[in-house]
Amino acid sequence: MKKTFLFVFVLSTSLTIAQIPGYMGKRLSLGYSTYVSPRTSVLDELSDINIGSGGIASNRAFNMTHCLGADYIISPRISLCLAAQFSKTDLFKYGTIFDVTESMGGSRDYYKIVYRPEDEKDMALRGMNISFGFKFFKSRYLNPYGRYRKIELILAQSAVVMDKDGFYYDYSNQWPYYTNKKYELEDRSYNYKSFVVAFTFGKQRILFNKLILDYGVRAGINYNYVFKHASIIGMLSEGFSDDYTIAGKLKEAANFRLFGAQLFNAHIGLGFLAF
Amino acid sequence: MIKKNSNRSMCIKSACLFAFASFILQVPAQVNDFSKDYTLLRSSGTIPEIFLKSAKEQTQQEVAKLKNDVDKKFKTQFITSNNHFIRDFLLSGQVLINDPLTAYVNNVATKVLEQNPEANAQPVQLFVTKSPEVNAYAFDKGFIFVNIGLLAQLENEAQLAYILAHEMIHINKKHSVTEYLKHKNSETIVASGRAEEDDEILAMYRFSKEQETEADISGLDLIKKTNYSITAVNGALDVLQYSYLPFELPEFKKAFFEDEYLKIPDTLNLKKVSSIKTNDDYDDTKSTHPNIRKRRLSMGDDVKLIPETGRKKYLVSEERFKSMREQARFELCRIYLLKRDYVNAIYAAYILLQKYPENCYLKKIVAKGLYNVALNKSGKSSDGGIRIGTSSSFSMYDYDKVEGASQRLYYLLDKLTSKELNVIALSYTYKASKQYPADKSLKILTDSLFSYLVNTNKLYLADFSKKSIEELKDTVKKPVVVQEEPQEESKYSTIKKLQEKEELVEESNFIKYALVGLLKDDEFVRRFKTMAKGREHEVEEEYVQKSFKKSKKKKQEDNYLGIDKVIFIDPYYRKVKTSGNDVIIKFDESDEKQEKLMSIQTECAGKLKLDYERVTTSNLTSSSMEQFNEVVLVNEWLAERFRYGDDDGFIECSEAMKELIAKKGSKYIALTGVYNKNKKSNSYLFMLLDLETGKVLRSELRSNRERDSNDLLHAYAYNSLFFVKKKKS
Repeated sequence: MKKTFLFVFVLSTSLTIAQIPGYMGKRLSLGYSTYVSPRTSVLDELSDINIGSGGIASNRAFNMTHCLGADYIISPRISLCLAAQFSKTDLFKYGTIFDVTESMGGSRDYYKIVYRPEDEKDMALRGMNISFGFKFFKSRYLNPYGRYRKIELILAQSAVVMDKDGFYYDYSNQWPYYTNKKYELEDRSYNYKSFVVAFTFGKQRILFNKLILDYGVRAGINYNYVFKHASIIGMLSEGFSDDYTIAGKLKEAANFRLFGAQLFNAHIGLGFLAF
Repeated sequence: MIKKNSNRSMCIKSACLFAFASFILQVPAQVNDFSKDYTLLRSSGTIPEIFLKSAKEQTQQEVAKLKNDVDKKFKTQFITSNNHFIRDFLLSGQVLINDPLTAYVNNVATKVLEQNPEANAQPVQLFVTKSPEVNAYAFDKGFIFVNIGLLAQLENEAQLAYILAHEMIHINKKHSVTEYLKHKNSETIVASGRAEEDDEILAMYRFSKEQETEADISGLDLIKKTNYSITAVNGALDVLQYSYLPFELPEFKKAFFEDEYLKIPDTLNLKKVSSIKTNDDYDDTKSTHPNIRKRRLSMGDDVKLIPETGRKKYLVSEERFKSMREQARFELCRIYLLKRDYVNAIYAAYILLQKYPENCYLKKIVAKGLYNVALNKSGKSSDGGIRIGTSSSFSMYDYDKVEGASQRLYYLLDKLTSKELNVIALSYTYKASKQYPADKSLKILTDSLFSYLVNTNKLYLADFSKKSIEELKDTVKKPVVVQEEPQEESKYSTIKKLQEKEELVEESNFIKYALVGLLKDDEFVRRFKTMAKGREHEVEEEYVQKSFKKSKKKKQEDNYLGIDKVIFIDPYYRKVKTSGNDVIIKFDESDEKQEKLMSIQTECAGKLKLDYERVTTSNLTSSSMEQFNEVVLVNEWLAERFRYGDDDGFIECSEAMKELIAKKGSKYIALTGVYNKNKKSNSYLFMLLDLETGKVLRSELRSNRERDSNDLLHAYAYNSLFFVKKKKS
């Protein structure tokens, strides 16, 4: 996927006949931005999965995504944007108890599984997104100065950061209360893909003829959330899951977190006009 | 005794020589031979210091003197706006420097002040301005501006003296400041323009009627102490009362446009013109001055009672007055054209042509006036070019409202159709062009009129008769004898003959025979054929094809101009603050931003490797008259160009402009302007024009709700110049 984006980017820039003024002749800018997304309990409660107690890490906080991007002016009002975004958010707290249902040979077993890693850290979701989009500057402005609207496609890739050996059966309501019986989590990667269509209202200003100050707000819709049970393009998304296993719960929580993280963001960034 | 006598005679001779030399030195070396041609007035010599002073420095010096004045805030506002306005006005190109008219006006003022030294407590500085309005203005700091329109109307020197005396009283009594303070709570300051100043702008510095009356009475007192004629005072008021009329009122004869073959029907000749109204007691509630009757009454019986013995109409020189007035009238013709007052321009030239029938300049004025009236009749506007988006400021004054002899001309031009006007204009212009073959502008005008005749009015060679009506009548009377048996006269052949006769005498088709004489000129026919591309008739097919012509979608590349060198003029920059209905100009900030924009332009041009020259008033010194005249020339050209808006119009590339183009090495001029309101609303304008043709090659207007930050200006300026420099691939 990365190769695809890179190819499109290079193709677009090479096809663009560089007869655009740019800002004082400079068309490429590189920059760093921080995206801030509020984390609220509302999003947590939207999940209909009975996770159990503990649940999704529900700190009222801001999630931050760090973004490195490049913008290339392809017309007086349009810029081509490519960026890589990095984020890390909490997924499940230390001590979260999962209500798990497993089917075994025609019967169903119900368990409570508790997450208690040795390092006592919460489970986290690390994201590495690649976005590709276009900024459209209003006609009264000149790219890269002024107000713009940006539409972008974000390929979101998330990986669960956890201690796979930190799952235990929980008999806290039975004697003996706790057990050291480990729950063997399936040994595979817990990475998820989705894509997000995001829309940004922003503004750019040029400082000292060299630096670009960029700020705005973004709203995005995660495909996985919208098409809950679909998986149209396997490489782009994996849909949600009705699976009540740990894996299923991780998947749903990850997508849910992703949905929340992309729903609303405010960003501020600083870049420089390269050439 | 002899020795004493010889010493005395030597002294007298020396004194005479000195007086003579002083007289000669006062008269700039600009002599016009009105019989052949006329050279427009230009500023010359050294630029007076007052033109070079920075308005900001001047303001700071004056404000420092206010100290703890009660009205300090409003006086500061007044001083700031006054200084900036005057500076802008002085450098706009409307004010003449060291020309014969200004010299003469100053001489007359000297005569008034000689006997009234107290009136010179605030030293008076007089200038003549290129405005057609019959008026003079006094400003704070002793400035008096006398319009050329006024000088053209005066009957004698004494009238001028009285008008100057009136203005001197305004200055002496500081009427401008007191009037400003009186209205300080509701003052609305109008942003002043950079090129020409309309008299509406000048009139904003107006006085109350009481102040005008005081100036009338006290002005008369000044004149009483001189030897100027007192009865001339009444004459001066007559000049003002009838200022809306041309400077003379000869009967206009349509024969002016006619020749042996071109005969304008009598139906287009107004039989009786409207009489001139003599109402001097008109409603003056909306006027800046009391009406003329009140003004005469306010001066009481002095005008009648003071004896005229020993008083004269001329104390400086009658000859100089008449020469000055004649020059003013010649200048007025051109000013009327610039203001798009074509009918007045034609009539003024007509008046002067009665005296100077072979004057090339006057014939050009008539030709240009006719050309522009004909153009506007056809309703043709610019096609294909970039639109400025301004509405045309030309509209012909309703002939019903015109009084006096000039009404005939208005009537004639109003009643003539576009085709008729085109033919008359072509006939007049072609003949003038033949008479003055060296004059290129007449040739260009003729070609343009040919083009309009063919392309707009769809008239071709076949539409014009090569024989006159009389010749054709003879042909009709004497039919060709054919050796045949006589034909029986039938009803239909009789009808046909009658129709032929009627056609010959049909007045409405007079243009058919208008070019009989010119069609005998091979050169005329050749140029006509060239313009018609060999066609004798209108070809319908071509128009069908044209209607289906698809317009090509414009690529971005089409906007690239590939120009290597441009001329920059000082950008226009205005920062204003609005508060309710009040608009307050931030002059100092505007000046700073203007300088900043100039440096941004320079930086962007450097980055793009775009070569440039400047036509600027910055860094003017007293010896920079050439630089000053360049600014004047360009400003006048721009003012004329923008008056046309999107209409076609003849923009003359004068010899002076060609010299400027050759000197600067470019015929492209770039205009930039920024208007910022309340720090959060911007409008940016950029235009590139061709000085030779007047064509707008590029036009940008960007408005947004942003501060006018340097990065924004950089972005705009670079973008504008990028398209100027970039070549199409």
